[in-house]
Amino acid sequence: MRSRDHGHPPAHRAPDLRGWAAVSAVRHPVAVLDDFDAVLAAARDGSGDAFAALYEDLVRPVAAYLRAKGVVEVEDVTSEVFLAVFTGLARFSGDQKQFRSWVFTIAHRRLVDGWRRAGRSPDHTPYEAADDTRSTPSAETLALDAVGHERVMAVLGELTDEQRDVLVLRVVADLTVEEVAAVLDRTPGAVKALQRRGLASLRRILATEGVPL
Amino acid sequence: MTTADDDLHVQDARDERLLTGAPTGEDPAVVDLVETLRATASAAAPAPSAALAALLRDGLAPVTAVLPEVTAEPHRAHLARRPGTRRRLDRRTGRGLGVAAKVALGAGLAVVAFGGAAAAGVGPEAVRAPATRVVDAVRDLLGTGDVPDVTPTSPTSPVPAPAVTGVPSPGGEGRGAEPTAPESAAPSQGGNGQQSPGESRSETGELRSGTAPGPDAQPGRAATPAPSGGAGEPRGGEGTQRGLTPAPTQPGRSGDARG
Repeated sequence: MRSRDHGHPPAHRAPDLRGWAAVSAVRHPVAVLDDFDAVLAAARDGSGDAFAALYEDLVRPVAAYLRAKGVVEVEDVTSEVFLAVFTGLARFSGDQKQFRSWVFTIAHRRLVDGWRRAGRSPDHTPYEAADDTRSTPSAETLALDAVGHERVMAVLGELTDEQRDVLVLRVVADLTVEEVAAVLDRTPGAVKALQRRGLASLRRILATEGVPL
Repeated sequence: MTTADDDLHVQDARDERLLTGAPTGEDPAVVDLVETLRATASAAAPAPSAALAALLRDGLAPVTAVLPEVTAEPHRAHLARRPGTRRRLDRRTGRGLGVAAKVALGAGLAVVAFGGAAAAGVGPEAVRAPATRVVDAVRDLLGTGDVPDVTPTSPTSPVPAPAVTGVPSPGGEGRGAEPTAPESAAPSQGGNGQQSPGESRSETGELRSGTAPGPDAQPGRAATPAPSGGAGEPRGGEGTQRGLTPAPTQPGRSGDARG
């Protein structure tokens, strides 16, 4: 098995995924395990390779979601999310799409719990490229980087928390309206309304400021 | 469907295409923003923490390995996984106690059970007799025999003795017959002093806690006809002895021996 390759090396040594079904890239960064059921069964048996396969499949979108939500210690929180996922696998049943939703549900709840513990609402920390400690940014990341990335985060920061949740989960996590509704514990209608208003806000902001990404 | 609904539907469809990366006639700035956001999901992965790295490297013990333990005691095993609950369970079950505390707890329980059995008059005679003696001794030592009565104290109240002691119970009567605690019967002791000698309490109290002076007790004892009381059960009669008032009109109050 090979790890997903998007033309850039990962920031850390990729786990050895040989022996598992190939992970295929789809239209955009969302990857799909070809043999998800076998990987999940092995993960339930405690296989480190299976954990690594699942981790490789979802770590980037999860980290991107956390980053877009203003989490500063992305590495720590991402690791906490996956530790919770792997130690709670016995409670999960479903297919790959449901697994993806479940992982983001855990990530979302971890964020909410963290904010609750800290006694504050989520404040959106503007992205600072200088603070990004990722040691080996990819060419793609470099292409995005500084201005574009920072700009995206700044614009998202002008949305409400709920609007940002919906748009980030839809775009970064590649979830459907129904899946986002499940993650956020809202109705699909409410998610659609938030999505509509969020996109309208984005259009208005971009039209007003006219700043290119 | 109204025009507004149509518009909403069209808008939703356009939003959906934008969010899923399908071609759309959207403002390029908006499309760029969404695609830039989408690209963040392919940025370099953060390094896993030490714990997660170890998990990815070594894996976990199979979940089934712990199943027998869970099934053996499902509820408590589940609770025990939570640290606070585990502490509470340990405290409740005694597992959290030290050795000395466990010994003391066990001894205390044994004494209570032993004394309780003696007081209730249950169990075989071989057990009851020594237990009663121990309880009596302890009671004398602590002066608990002088605890004020809970019986009515009105001097005009009808004599309640028969009601209490009229029917000698197998266990109770015997107790009353045993004059094993003369010191407790002494007027100088304890609770008797709490009330005046002339009070009716002597009449009623005698039935239970025995506050009557010693001299009074003697007739009472003599009056106890119960064969079982006198013969069979020479135990703990301090209460009965103290409680036995000279009630010549009620010779049948052997039951009062029960105290």
